[in-house]
Amino acid sequence: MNDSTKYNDEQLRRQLENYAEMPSDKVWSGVTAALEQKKKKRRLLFWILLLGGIASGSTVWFFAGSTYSGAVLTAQQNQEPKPAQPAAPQSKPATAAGKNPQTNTANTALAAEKSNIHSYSNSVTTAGTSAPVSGKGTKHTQNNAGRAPENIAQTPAGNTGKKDGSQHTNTGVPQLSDNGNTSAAAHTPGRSSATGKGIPESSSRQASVSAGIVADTPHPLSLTPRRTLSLSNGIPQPALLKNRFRDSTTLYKTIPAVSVKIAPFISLEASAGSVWYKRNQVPANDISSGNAQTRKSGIYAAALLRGGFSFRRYAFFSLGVGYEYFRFSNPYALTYTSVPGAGSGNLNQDLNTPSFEAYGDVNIPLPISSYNGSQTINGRLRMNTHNIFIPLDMGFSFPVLHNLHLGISGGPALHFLLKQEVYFLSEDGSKKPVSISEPSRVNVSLGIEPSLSYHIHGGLSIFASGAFRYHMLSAVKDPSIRSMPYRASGQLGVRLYLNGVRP
Amino acid sequence: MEITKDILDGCRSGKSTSQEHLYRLLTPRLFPVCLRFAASRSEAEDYMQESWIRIFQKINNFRNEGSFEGWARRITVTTCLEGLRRRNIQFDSPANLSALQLSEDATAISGISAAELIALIQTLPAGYRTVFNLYVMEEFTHEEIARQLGISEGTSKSQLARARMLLREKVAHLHSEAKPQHAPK
Repeated sequence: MNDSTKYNDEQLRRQLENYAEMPSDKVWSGVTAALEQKKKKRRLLFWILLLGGIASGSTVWFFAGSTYSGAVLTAQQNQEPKPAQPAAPQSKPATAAGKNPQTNTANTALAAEKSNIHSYSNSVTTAGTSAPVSGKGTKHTQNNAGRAPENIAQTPAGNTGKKDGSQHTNTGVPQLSDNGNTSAAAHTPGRSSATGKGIPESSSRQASVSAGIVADTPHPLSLTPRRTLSLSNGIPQPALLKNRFRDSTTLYKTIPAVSVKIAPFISLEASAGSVWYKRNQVPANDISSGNAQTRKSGIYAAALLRGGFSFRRYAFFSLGVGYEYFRFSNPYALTYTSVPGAGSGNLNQDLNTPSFEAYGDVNIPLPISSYNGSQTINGRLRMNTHNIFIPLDMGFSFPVLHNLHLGISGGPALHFLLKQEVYFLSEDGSKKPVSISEPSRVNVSLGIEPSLSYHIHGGLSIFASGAFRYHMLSAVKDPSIRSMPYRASGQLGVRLYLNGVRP
Repeated sequence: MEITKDILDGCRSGKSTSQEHLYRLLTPRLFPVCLRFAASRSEAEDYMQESWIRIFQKINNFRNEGSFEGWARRITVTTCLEGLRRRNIQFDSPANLSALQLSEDATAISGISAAELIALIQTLPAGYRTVFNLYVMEEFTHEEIARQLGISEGTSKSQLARARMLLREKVAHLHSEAKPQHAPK
């Protein structure tokens, strides 16, 4: 660079250095509008994350809680010193009522074990340990009679609570001792009784299995106790609340044991329904004005192959690849009027003329000037879109009734545009081509989809779902336009789990 | 008026009053940058708006090291370059630099106002204008320009030489148009 050039550059820099100029006010209004929009997005994301967190936290709490009363409590109780007792009398089934109080205690505990498999709420009045406490005139009834009749029979008559004509009422609520603590026999099935006469685990399990119940599988719908009481030795005990799910033997038997495994699944589904679609299309750099909107309703059809993992059969994570089709057909009145400078032609001319009026992302040509007067052509604006989409979903599914599941899923999806065609279909049936902003080939969306599914047979299910999906990228290629569509759809579908694993 | 820490802290916490204050303070100095890179005022306003959105979004990245104006200016230049890239600016192929007339009359631009100079720069083809702005006004080296724009250093040099030549012609033309008006009757 020669000196004169350098000097010239310096001079130019100096000359422009102190030059100041303000743009028009619409720049600032554009900046504030854009920042406000970002804030709204952040707020929306915050709520989605919060609700997602609450949903997943509740799910974890709901299912993880079911193991608390069994696993944690039993571990605590196993730490209790067990008095040395000969095993034989405890494990031997008692056959004669009143003959062996210790055995009766154990067997009553066994009954409690059985009853507690269904419900911890069945208190046990054990021979020699349950003192009649209520006043005169009350009636003693054992509400576990239907579940463990043999133990009722084994209970000595003198221990049924009759004393001075008073009767003990066992309401199914844990009996509290004077200090408000429950009898250990009622809470520690099969481990140890209040009198220290525990029964071996094997015997309790045998008893349970003989009753057709798997004792060591936590009930999928059992609830974590809300409050705890303390035994006299300070061990926290769950407060045993009545729960119709947990206490229902019928319901319990119909629901299969929960698998803790992470099981892979693969499914094929097809669905169809209606879709409502809205697009805010605005100039990219002036989002405060020119807010042209497109609202469309149409039909939707999709096919999806999905593979993933289910966790404990209630939560799932999946990746899919599918095809989706949208067809929008909305009434549109095309009005021709005399507008100078809009070009020349006649009504039969193709609509693909250089001047347009914007209808969302569809450009309808401006009226043709040579036409004298005005005329309206009624018809429909049609848009057919074919996409390949790749959804990445996570979700939950809960049984609500027999074979009926309520679920919610959501996540991002990639959309690849295969083909899009737009045309104006006039009432006389003639098609007129319409110019449209060049659509983006790729888009990313974020969606959420609650669904109700019914399991028919094998791996076959039918489902009804509603979905909301927001597109994160502009739907048109033109960098001067920002077009962020969102859509809501409702669809019915059929789903086939190819490997039999169903989340 | 200075850019105080309070204003920057207010912007960081999203206060709209602080944001507007900062905007009113800095825009008069940043907007000419956009004007020089853009072909028109409306295009420059687009760049300015996009730049401010970015500045407010990234203001937490500014660590109070160095001048805030310099930091904001870098964002503005980057935004302008991205905007130009989206518009697919074309660069002429490298030319024989010796064939280009590089000598300039240093006094030629002295009689022209800054607004006129900017208007002249705006009339340059996008490729020339971009390289000229980056080299002369933003003091980038040819190596940096080549890296930023994805072109060769030779192309950058020839774009600059052509830009200078064209600008000189336009300045001369402006002078020749102005002379008859100032000529004594």
